[in-house]
Order: sequence, then C-alpha cells, then structure tokens
Amino acid sequence: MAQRFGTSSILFLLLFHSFAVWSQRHTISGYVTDRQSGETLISASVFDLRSSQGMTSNSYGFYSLTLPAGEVELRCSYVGYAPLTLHFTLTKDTTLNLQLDEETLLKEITVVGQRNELGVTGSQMSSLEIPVAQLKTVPALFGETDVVKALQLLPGVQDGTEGTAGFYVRGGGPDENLFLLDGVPVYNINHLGGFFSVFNADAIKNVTLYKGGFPARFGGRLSSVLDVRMKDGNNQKLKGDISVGLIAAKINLEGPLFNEKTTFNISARRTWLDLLAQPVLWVMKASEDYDKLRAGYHFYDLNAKVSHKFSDKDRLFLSFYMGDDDVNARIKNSWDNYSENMGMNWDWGNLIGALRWNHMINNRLFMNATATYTQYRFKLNNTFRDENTANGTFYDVRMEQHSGIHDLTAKMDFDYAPVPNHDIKFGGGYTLHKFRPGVSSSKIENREEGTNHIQESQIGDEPVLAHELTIYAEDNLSIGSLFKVNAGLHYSSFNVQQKWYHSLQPRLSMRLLLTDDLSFKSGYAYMQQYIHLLSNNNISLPTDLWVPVTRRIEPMSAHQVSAGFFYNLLDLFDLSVEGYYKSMDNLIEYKDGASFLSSDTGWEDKISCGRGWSYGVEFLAQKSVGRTTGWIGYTWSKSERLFDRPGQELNFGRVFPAKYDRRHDISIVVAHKFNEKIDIAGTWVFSTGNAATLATQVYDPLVVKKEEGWWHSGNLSYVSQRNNYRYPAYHRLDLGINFHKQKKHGIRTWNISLYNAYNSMNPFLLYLSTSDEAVLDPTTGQYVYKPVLKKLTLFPIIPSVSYSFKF
Amino acid sequence: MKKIYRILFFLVVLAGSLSSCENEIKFHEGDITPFMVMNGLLSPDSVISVDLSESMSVIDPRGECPRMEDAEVKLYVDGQLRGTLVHTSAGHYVSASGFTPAVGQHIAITAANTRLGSIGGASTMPAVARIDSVAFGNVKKTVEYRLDENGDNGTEPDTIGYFVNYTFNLNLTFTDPAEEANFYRLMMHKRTYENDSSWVTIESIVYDLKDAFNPDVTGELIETTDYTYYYNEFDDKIFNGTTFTLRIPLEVSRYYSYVTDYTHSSQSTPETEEKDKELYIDLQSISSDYFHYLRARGKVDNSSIINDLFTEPIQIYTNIEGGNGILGCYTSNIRKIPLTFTDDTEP
Repeated sequence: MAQRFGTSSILFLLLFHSFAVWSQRHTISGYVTDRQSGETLISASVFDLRSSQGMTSNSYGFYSLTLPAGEVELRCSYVGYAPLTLHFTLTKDTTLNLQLDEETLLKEITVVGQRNELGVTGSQMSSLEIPVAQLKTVPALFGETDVVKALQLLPGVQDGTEGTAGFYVRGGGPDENLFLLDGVPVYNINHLGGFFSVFNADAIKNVTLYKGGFPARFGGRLSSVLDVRMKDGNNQKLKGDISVGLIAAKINLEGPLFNEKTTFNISARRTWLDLLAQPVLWVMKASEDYDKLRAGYHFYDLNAKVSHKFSDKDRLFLSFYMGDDDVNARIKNSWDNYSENMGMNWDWGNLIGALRWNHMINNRLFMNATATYTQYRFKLNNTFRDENTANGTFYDVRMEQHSGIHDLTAKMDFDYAPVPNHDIKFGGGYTLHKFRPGVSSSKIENREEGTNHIQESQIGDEPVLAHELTIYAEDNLSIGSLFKVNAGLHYSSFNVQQKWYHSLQPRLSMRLLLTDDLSFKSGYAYMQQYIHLLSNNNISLPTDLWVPVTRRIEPMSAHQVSAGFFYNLLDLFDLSVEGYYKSMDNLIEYKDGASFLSSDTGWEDKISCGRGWSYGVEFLAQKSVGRTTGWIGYTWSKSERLFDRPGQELNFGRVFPAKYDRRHDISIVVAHKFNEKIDIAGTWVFSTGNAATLATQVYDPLVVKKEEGWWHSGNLSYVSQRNNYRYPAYHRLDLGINFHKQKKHGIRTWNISLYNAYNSMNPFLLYLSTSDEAVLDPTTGQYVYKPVLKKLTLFPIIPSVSYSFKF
Repeated sequence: MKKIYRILFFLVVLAGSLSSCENEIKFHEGDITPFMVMNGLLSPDSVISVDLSESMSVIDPRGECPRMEDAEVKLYVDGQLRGTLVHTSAGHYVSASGFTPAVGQHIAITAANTRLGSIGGASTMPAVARIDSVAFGNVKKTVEYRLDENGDNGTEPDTIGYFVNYTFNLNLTFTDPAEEANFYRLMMHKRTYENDSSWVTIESIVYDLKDAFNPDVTGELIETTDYTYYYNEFDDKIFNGTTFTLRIPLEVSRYYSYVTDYTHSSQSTPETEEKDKELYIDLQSISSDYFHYLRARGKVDNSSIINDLFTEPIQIYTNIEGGNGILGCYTSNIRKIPLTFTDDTEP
C-alpha cells in the first residue's frame, strides 16, 4: 500500500508540475511594422534568444509567440531593416508591437533565428521572396521596372518569346499560375502583349513566389503562386513618387487620412504611346489623303488602398485595382457624295476589389475575413459604314466579340499559434464564377430604295456559372531543433453544369537542419485546377479564353515532388540546389487545325485532353545585403506532353516537347551601390531555344478530287511533330544606372537604361520569306529570289531615360 | 563634357532605330534531309499503281518535288510477294502483271532507293458498302421569274423566263457492319444527257454532309464537332452496326426561257429543254488510313491564309513507314437516280 501511495503521489506531482510549468507560459503578440511609415512587415522574424524559440509574422504583419515566463531577450529582424532587440521579464500575456528602422545598406544578414520561412531554417521550399527594392533595380524594357519581368530571371521561371506574355514555371502552362493581389486572383497580368505586367512596383510591399511545396492555404492552380501584397500607406506623413519615362508616367501617393489610424495608398500609371504615334499618323493621313486617320494604343493601371485601424485588435482594408489596354484605329474617306468609315477597337482589362477585416480574437488566434470581386474582360469591335448622302443609302456593319470571367469570393483565414512549435493556419472560402468563353454578335443594316434592312445574329457559348468551395488546414511544426515540417490538407469542390468535382490535396514540406547554415528540404504537393486558358500554339493574345471544366472536360491535376539543399554562406549568400519532378493530367490543347476565330462550334470540340511531365534541377546563388546584391540562377529542365486518348490524339499519339520546353536557362543579375548618389545594375540572360511547330519540308499530295473537275493543287507542308523546331538560343545584356540627388523636398533620380546592350538579334518569330537579293539559278540561268527562313527581332538595342522624384 | 554625353546618347538612339530587325537563318541539317513519298489509291476497279516522289526543303527554290524514277517497287498481297511495279513515267509505277486487288486482301507495297533508303505502306481492301435504298423525300417546288430590267421598250421590266427550283432530301439508306469500324466517303454529281443521251455533261451538285448529321435531321443526339467533312468522308461512330439513313438536303434548278439569249433558244419550254438529268451517287467504303488522311487533308485544304496565324498547325496522317504519303483503298457502290419531278410546266 505504501508502494501504491508512493507511485500515485509521484504521478500526481508530475502532472501538477507539468500543469504548473504550462501555466507559466505567456504569449507575446502584436504587429511588426516599419517605424517611419507604419507599414506592416510580412514574414519578419521574432525570436527569443534565451529559449531559442521564435515565429514569423503573417501576411498582415501579426505575430504570436508563447514563451516560458521569465527573462526574455526578444530579437526582431527583417531583411533591409536594422534588427531590434528587447530585454524584459515576461510575467503575463503581452501585446507588443515591434517597430523596425529601415537600413539603406545592410552589411550582413541580420535576420537570425527563424530567418524567414523561405530561408535555410524554414520548412518552405521551392519558394522565393525577393525584396521589392531589389526587384526594382533590375534594368527593364523602356526603363519600366516590372516585378514579373524580374521574377522571370529566377531559376525555374521562364518567359515566353521575346518580351511577351507568359509565366512558365517548371514546365507548366501560363494558366497554371495563381496571381494574387492582396489575396485576390488576377486573371490576366499582361499589358501590351506581356511586355509589362499589371503590377505597379511602386504600390507593392512584398512579393513571394511559390514554385512547389505549396502550403495548404493555396489552391486552384498547378504550377505556381505569386503572392503580391500592396502597401497599406504611410501613417505618419504624405509621401509620394512621380516618374516619367520613355513610354509611360507613374505617380504614387501614400499617407494618413485624417489621422494616423487611417491611411491611403494610391498609384496610377499610363502610357503615352498613342501620343507618340500622332505625328506619324499626321504624316500618313496627309500622304494617303484620308479625311481622318486615328490610331493608338495605351494602357493604364490604377491601384488604390485605404486602411483603417480601429484598435490593436481590429483593422479594415479596402483595396481596388483597375487596369485596361486599348488598341484603336479609325479611318474615314469621302469623295463626292460618298463616305467610307472603318473602325476597330480592341479592349481588355481587369477590375478587382477587396474588403478585408483583420481581427485578433485573442493573442494566439488571428482572423482575416475577406470579400472580393475580380473581373477580366476582353472586347473586340469592328465597324464599317458606307454611305451615299445623295440618295440616302448606306451599308453599316457592326461586329463585336467579347469574353470574360467574373468571380465573387468570400473567405476566412485563421492563424493560430498555441505554442512556438506550432504555427497553424486554417480556413475556407466560397467563390461564384461566371464564365463567358466567347460570344460574337453582328448587326448589318442597309438602306436602299427607301427601305431599311436589318440583320442581327449572335453566336457563341452561353455563360457558365460555377461554384467553388475550399477548406484547408496546415501546421508548420518544429520537431526538435533539427526537423521542421509543414503538413497540410487542402480540400476543394467545384460545381458546374450540375456536376461536382471533389479533390483532397495533401501537402507536405519538410526541412532537416544539417548544420546551422545547411539544410536539406523536400516537399510533395498534389494540386487541382478547375479552369483553363485556351491559348493558340503560335501566339499568345488577350483573346485567349478562360474556360471552366465541364461535364466533358475534367479538372487538371498535378503531383510534384521536390528536394534540395540550402546553404547560407558567411551570412552573405544564400545558395540552393533543388530538383523537381512534376506529372500533370487532363491538360488541354487545341486540336490540329483548330482556331479560336471559328465560333460555329463550342470550344470543347476544339480541344484534346492529355497528360504531361516535367523535371529539372535549379541552382541559385543570391546575395541580398551589402553594396553589391543580386543573384545567379541556372536551370536545366525538360517538359513533355502526351495526348493519346482515343479520338483525341495529337502528334499521332506520340510524345512531343511542351511549347516552352527549354533545356538551359542562365540569368545573372548584379546591382552595385557606389554611394547615395550613384548605383548601377546589369542583367545577362541566356537560354536555349523555345520549341515551335514549323514545317521544314514539302512533299507531293495524293490528288483527291473534291468535286467534279476540282481538287487542291500544290505541295503539302511536312511537320515532323508538334513543337518540332528549336528557335536559336537567346541571350541579352541589360544595363542601367541611377543618379540620385537630394533636393529640398525630396530625392530626384535620373535613370538611364540600355536594353539589349550589345544588340543581340534574338528571335521573336520565324517565318518563310525570300532572299533580299536575287541569286543566279544554275538550272534556269535566271536570277531569282530564293526562299529563305528568316527571324524577326522585336527589340534591338533600346536606350531609355526616365526621371523620378520621391518626396 | 555634358554636351559629349548628349551627342553620344543621340547616336546610340539613332543606331538602335536603324538596326536591322530581320535576318536570314539556316535550318538545322537534319530537318531538311529529304525523304521518299509514296501515294497510291487502290480499288478493285483498277490496276495497282503508286506515285513516288522526293520531298524537298521549304526553302528549295524548285517549284515541284522531284519524281522518283529509279526505285525498286514490290507488291505483297496477304503477306506474299506478288510481283513488282514498273515505272511508266514521271514517278508513276504500275503493276507489271496488271494485278487488281480484291475485297479483303491486305496490300503492301515497298519502295527502295540507294540514296533515300526504303519505305513501305500497307492497307486492306474494305468490303463494298451495302446500300438498302435511295429515294427522294420532302420535295418542294418554287418558281422564280427572271425579269429583264431594261425591257423591250427600254422602260418597263419584262419577264424573260423563269426558274423552277426543287429542294428535296436525298435519303440514302445503308447498313453498317457491326463487327468492325467502317469508314465511308460519299461522292455525288449530276449528269445531263442531251441529244438523245449521246452527250453527257457532268456537273457538281452542292451539298454539305454536315447537314446529314445535324441532330434536327437525324433526330439523334450527336456529339457536335468542329469538323467540316471537307472531302465528304465519315465514320460509323453514330450508327455502328445499324441501318442508317443519310438525309442530305439538295437543290436542283432548271431555267425556262421566253426569249433568245446566249444560252437559251427562243421559246424554250419544258418540252424542248433537256430533261434527262440524273443524280450519280457513289457510296465508297474506304480504308481507315485513307479516312484519317482525308480528314487531315480536309483541315489543311479548308484553312485560309488569314487563319494560319491563329490556326493550330496540322500534321497530315501517313501510313508510310520510313517516308511519307498515303496508301489507301476503297470500293464503290454506285446508284443513279433520275432527277425527274412531276408538274414541271409553267404555273
């Protein structure tokens, strides 16, 4: 009995001790912000040097760290900011907002402890967070800094053809990327065919790219997630930035509204290519004797955000984005009593709105509730009017083609940090999609002999409504000091045309710390996608259609595994080597001979379904601190497709290279800051050629009679396989230099850039043509123009200059 | 110093604007190595023959592909060597023994050349399509008068003749064998017999096979397709193993003239106009490879220059190993239907 009493007592004491110990833990929580502007800092590290426990701030700058009672040495750090260290005694749950001071030049990486989720010690792999300031140093076309163009210089990310649309990540298509602007999907991120993106770098606070190992909170796309966060606005004083460049002007204003609790951030950008073209058009109008000749292209972006802080527990945000591209042309001719008017207008753009509420339920549980609207639409108008004013006759034709997609979304996300070892996120959402894949309408009206005749028609696909529901849960947990895992589950369901699709998508990412500076990471993700972008094989256009899965067309899916080593060298360089393999199913491509222009049947009949796979190795060496920053990236990759389902064969059911299968990709980005007045940057890229379908030979056809006395003559073009031909290798050097000068009210900067500095004639398009000079044909003895293969280069060397003023 | 920078900048801009943006490049060597092409369409009604030629690069200035006149061509029937094909002219090879294939036979032809190696193709002669009946249905007649705008006295329009138009359905009923996939091609034209049938004029008749597969016509729920049936070829997916009726809307028109003009004699009437017209129908049963070839050819021949930039590239089907082209087979089932309708006089 004494023995039993003793055992029970010991157990009781142990339990009591555990409870006592547990109850001596307290939570520190709050926001990490920039001291000067009040901007929240995402993924900032908050680390207790005494207990070696820490967390990172979430997408809204909120952190929560539960520590043992007693002495705390709290260190908060973030790249680009001086670290903050606080000593205090923790005796109760404490709200502690941390304010960091920006450093113009960091001598070393001072982000310690957790560093951030994407670094050596983080569990997240296949992901990159490039500071916006560093992205803005990359020299760009026409001097226009572009976030997406800079990201295309990273390993694993490819652009399309020269300067054009396309964001191809690890062998995936351009529709397999989820672009989020403050958590709202953006369907078309391209201006001017993809030469510029819709993201105005001046309005952006943070950019994170996920290429694999996707956390469970993301879903809906197979290949990547680009999470772009807009600035909230400076809550101390009005600040701004005005920039005028070769083809566009930008303005950014931010500051407090009424008081420091309410801030605004507004950015606008517009090109003036249409104005630059006017002198040329005046000359053309005069030379061709037109009555009226107008043509032009322009695009604009408008970002606006208002944030209000009710208290430390509640914040409200209202975000808005509107952007549009417009191509137009109008010609008018008249003579005697006749007149002829022709017009064309091509218009596409996005409209996005989001209302967000952050609420701190308690110091360990944070909630974000969001309602969003996103719209992409495209419209093409053609008009023609032929009129005789003498007898009142006219002939009027109006044709319109439009398509679009609208989404309404409501969602809630929770961050729960019960203990430092667990960083739990969970939530869910609902989206109502409305697709308008393509509608063509025409109206022909003519008047003759006093009678009006009107003929109207409309053809195309009916709008499609779809419902999407998502639920997820993930935990970023540390097991000991060496092992860290992010495990999660993402569930989604999609209802369209009375058919339900369900998907349970496991996600796993783990890190094994080999030394303080070296880790091994691996990850697995299963993704499913319910919408597709129908894109022509030859050229990507704004007319590319967003279409949903249907009863016949099932969702795309992908499994991706990745693994790699991550090393931090001397607190200066981040080095990584990572390999991946991705298999994809239910991919779609246009069938042979299909065209988006023919709308006599639905799009489902024009496509084939198949599968694909891609694999590769990526190397990255990155330096984000010091006077010299930049990165070197190299990718070896291969991407193939197989469409062999009965009745849907492409390439005769044989394997063929994917459209943007590129074997080698190298990019070197270097920026150096001499002093506060001058800094320079350079970029060099090299890649082996894209694949394209090109007929290389011709041969005799079988003479097949179609009707009596009629058959096709001429040779047939021979295409050995889809994407059979490799473009020549691509390489380019860009240089840029900034001259800063402190003025009375701010800093003025002159930027001079040289795009394609050594004038490399990179291919934009290959086509058959004739030689520039006639040559002697030995068989006929005559001089003839030989057929030749030519390449068109879009951008030779292009210098540019821009002026900006920051106050 | 600043002036120098300005001049330098201007020169750089000028250089950029004047740079040539179009350059000639070379094809990869392997892409333009020529191959042999064999084209042949076999039927029980003709001696076996094929055409051999050589491919050429897209940048070859010669307009025509070279004909292959020195190949060794062999004929195999059901796996057995049955002789050779001899060259006659311009790459055309004909069976030396005058062999004509029979239904059900598997025909293989090989061609070898010292420079381009050897190629071969094979196909099986399909059975003749079984036509159950051919008839017209839903005949509708309309009359349209033709006016001479100027008139005899130059002021009032005058009736100088009239069109009699007949729209009707051609109902072609046939039975498809169930045990295999079958492929067909429909060929039709009009024949006009004049001068007591001693002179035959053959002319096209306009029809669209897509109309025959329109669900409103067939009453069937048919999977729509983007295809245009350009060569009037079709498969048996819709009606496999059943008796199916092709209902094709057709239209014929005759003109009766009251006056003499360059095409009509004076006072021509239905009695004096040619009356003997017939519809010539050939329902061909074709081999599967010939069907796939026609389908691909239809996509190519139906595309336009404007569409090329926005149209997916088309690969033409081939069953020639080691080369390109097509070796296809077909059999014919021919019916002739007089195009006579009652009540043909002027209303």
